[in-house]
Amino acid sequence: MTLAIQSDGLSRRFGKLPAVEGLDLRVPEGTITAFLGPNGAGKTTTIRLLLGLLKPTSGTCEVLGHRPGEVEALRQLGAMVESPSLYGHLTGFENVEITRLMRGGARSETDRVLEVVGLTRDAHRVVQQYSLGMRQRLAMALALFGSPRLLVLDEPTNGLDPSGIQEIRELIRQVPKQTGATVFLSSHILAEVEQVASNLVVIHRGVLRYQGPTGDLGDQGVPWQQIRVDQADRALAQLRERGLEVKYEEPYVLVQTPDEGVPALAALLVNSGLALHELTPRRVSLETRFLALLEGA
Amino acid sequence: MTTLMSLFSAERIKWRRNWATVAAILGPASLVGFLFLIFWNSEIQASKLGPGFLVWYQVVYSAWNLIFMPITVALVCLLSWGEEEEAGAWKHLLLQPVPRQFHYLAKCMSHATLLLIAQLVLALLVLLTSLLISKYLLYLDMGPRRLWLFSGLGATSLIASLPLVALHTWLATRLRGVGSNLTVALVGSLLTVVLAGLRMPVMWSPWALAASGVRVVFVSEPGKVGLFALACGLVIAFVALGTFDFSRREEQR
Repeated sequence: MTLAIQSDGLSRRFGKLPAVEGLDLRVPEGTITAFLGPNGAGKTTTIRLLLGLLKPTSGTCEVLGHRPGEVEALRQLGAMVESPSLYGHLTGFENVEITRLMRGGARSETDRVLEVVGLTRDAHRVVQQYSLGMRQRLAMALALFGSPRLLVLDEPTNGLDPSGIQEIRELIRQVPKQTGATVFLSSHILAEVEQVASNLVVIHRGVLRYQGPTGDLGDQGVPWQQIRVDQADRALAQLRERGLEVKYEEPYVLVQTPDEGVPALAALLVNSGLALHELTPRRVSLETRFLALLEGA
Repeated sequence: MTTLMSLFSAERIKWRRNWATVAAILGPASLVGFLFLIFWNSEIQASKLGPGFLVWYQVVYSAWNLIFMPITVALVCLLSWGEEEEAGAWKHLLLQPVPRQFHYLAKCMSHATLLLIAQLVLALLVLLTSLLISKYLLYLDMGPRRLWLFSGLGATSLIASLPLVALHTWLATRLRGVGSNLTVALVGSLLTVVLAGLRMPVMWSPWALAASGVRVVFVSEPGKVGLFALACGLVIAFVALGTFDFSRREEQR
């Protein structure tokens, strides 16, 4: 597995205050990896360390095989850190042109990224007249310029309305499919993250709490199925007789059984003469698992 | 060199609709307008002091070099860096695949070019107003306008402004706010006036160099060479200092 980001014992202190401590990050290439943590957890500090905007107090870090901040690393990455970094007195087109002149590239690339983010029609309007969503999309255009191998996005949906969030989410989702790039995405909106990210990195108080596939966060072994029947008492008794782990959370009877056992479970309930209204896997939201992880810490 | 020129081209895009450009044009325009109004509405018997054109050139360039140019330079540099700070454009700048020293050098080039524009605006306005003065204020006895003298004043003013550009390009990354930057410019100018003629280290400052820009035109060749050498030395020192400071700092602001 090739790693887009790798750090070992990455730490940063501000005076005596530790912001990030001993981070051992492993971000696989070609994935969308979400970087989660409550406010003040050290997310932005970590991102700044990865981009070379800050120097670590100790530890090492590699971004696409280079040290952070090295010209070769910067050439292959696009980034959006916190608020969009735009010149308000210039047009969207001029903003992208400035990036083109700094990064190098054909004029057609300016038109391409503006088209990707859907700003072709408004490209010659002054950015001060843009809505927040349009500014975020323009910042995305700057980050996408030159089809970078790694896209680092810090809170890209901050302050956006639901439709704006959806637009940015779709853009993020398309990036690895179209260019094979890795996306490293910090966000507070866990429901959003759950929809786009295949991998998670969670930090809390500057310390790494979890990294791995999104589905494995807070994995509690055998999954729970939730059942709604006409006679819950009878269902509970029947299932206990079969030696299954059960509990009751009105209006559901919860049974711990693998997904493969669901057809047999349904047959058992129906054959027992119960009216089965609902049988669905109980999915614990990312938010619940995330909060549980932090509570455990 | 190609990278530096590309960065400079990017800087030129930033001049559009921005306050640094406005300051570079309004600085000399307001000075010439102000002095022209005084001349127009007064009964200055400049002819008693010397040929009218000479008095006009000397008055404008003295006021420009001593007060207005340091203020204009401070404003241009402050507003130019200010737009990078606004909305955090800094971060985007520093994430481009370009060594940081190049960003700083491109800024120096941008500020120097804006000052060149300011000097050209000043020169154009001085010429235009001298035509008006010679036509309507006959008592000023304009006489033949000597272009060599005029171009000498412009050239020394330009050379003398470069150390100030180099100094304020650096100071504006360190000092926040209009007040502190303008204070530096004004204190430098005032010290030059107060300590004029004394052999003190402050007389080797960029402000004193700018102030001596007019005098040097009328002195012997060694004086001009001295001004040029001192200007070059100060520019190299301030640019080197600023570049070193800029590249070693962590995230700017």
